[in-house]
Amino acid sequence: MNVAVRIARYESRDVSRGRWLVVYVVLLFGLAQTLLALEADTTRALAGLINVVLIVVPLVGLLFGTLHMYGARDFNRMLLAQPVGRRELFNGLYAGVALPLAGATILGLGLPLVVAALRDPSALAGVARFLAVAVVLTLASVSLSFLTSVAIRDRAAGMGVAVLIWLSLSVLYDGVLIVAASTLPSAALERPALIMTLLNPIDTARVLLLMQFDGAALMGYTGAVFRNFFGGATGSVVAFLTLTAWIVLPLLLARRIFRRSDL
Amino acid sequence: MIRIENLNKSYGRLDVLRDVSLAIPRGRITALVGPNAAGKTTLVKSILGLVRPGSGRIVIDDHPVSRDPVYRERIGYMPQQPAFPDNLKVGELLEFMDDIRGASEGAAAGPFDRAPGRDLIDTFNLSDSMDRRLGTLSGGTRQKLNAAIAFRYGADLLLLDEPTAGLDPLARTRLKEVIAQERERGTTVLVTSHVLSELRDLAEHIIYLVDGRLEVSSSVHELLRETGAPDLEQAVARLMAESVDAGTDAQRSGAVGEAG
Repeated sequence: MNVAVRIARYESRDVSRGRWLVVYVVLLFGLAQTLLALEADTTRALAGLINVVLIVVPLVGLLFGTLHMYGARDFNRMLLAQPVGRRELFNGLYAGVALPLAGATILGLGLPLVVAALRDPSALAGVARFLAVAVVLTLASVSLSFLTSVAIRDRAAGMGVAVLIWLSLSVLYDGVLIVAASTLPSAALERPALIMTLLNPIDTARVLLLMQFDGAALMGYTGAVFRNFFGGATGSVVAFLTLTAWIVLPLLLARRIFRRSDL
Repeated sequence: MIRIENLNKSYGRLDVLRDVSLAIPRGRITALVGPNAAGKTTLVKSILGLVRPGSGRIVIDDHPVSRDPVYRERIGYMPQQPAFPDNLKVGELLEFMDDIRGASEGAAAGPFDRAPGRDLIDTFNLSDSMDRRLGTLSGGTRQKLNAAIAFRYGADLLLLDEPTAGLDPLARTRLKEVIAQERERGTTVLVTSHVLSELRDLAEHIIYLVDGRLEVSSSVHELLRETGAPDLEQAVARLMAESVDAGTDAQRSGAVGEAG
């Protein structure tokens, strides 16, 4: 068996038994269950859950991944004193952290949603899409956390940057977009807004999720442009590919830094 | 034998190792000593490939240290502060290490012949702790486990960074006995320690670093003769005092106080 797979197996066992992962599952389960109880319709509950997922999932992924990597630094040195290559260790670590976290996301959100969708089969496709986006967002945020922790040696500074990344992608970005929208005519915004969306994984995920609801029609002319682009098959594929790039590119960069740095 | 040739390492503008060239003799116990910030840990990390030298090279029995990790099959390493995954059990950690060492498959993947490992589980009374989570272990038990892993795979090169730190007197004595037995087996051992009395009965060769420079690399016998000191502890204390006299550096004088 590949060394990375062996490392991932024990890493994921360690991560899965952590208290915080259990708290995370319970939190997601509680949020999903509460919204399902408040809304009679599963699709409406899903729409309500979008904002929660877009805030909580990247925040947890970024913080959990960064904290875990800084905490594991001494043990990683010990592993690298064995006949283990840095590439294998890095791959094993990523799989060992990201997969249990993705599993927790599926368990916490999926269990109540799938049960609800079984009673309301029309919502099944929406639930599947919702869970897929939540998982991809988890993997992307763990990638960004790995990049942060290998690029910044100091733990406190690294944690600060992780929070800043989340803040920029989920809060500051919206502010910039609102200012742009209020100062520029909508026609001039179409293309830049599309590009900006693809440059922000949280926004790409948001658009991918919103497009399945009629709510997009409320977004006016730009909303129509978005609907035309992301609502079609090509747009969805482009959005998913962009999100995949947000997993792969930071990870490759992080691995490159990890392979070259002093430990 | 480990040969280190013109090794340099800097962190930014701080030179940690300066043109260090030395040989660590095969099959003997070498003590790596020096004041704080002398470059001891960086030297050990360089041998392990954890730190990339700025220039120079390290050769272990004609195999230059490279990015290919296979040479580490023959190395047993005891880090100064062992850290393990909190939520795994002691037995699982040993399985994990066996797994990545390929020991569970009963074959070495690389080109080196390995002797059978030494099981220190009973030596350190760890058998009863197999089901305990690593996060609940005391510092001393962690250090025992650290030693058990380093000696487990029949390494012919042991790098022990402050191996007796945190151990109770009984465990310390047992570990020293095990290190002495490794010498009988022909294992090359490199030990760093601040407690020089620990090394008194063990070390046969000494490497003394100051500010990243090699000051002394000689047999203990020769060092005692040259310094006229009655034992290793006093010989090193005299070396440290000489370094302080040579350049009155606040950091060095602090380390002399520590060693004396």
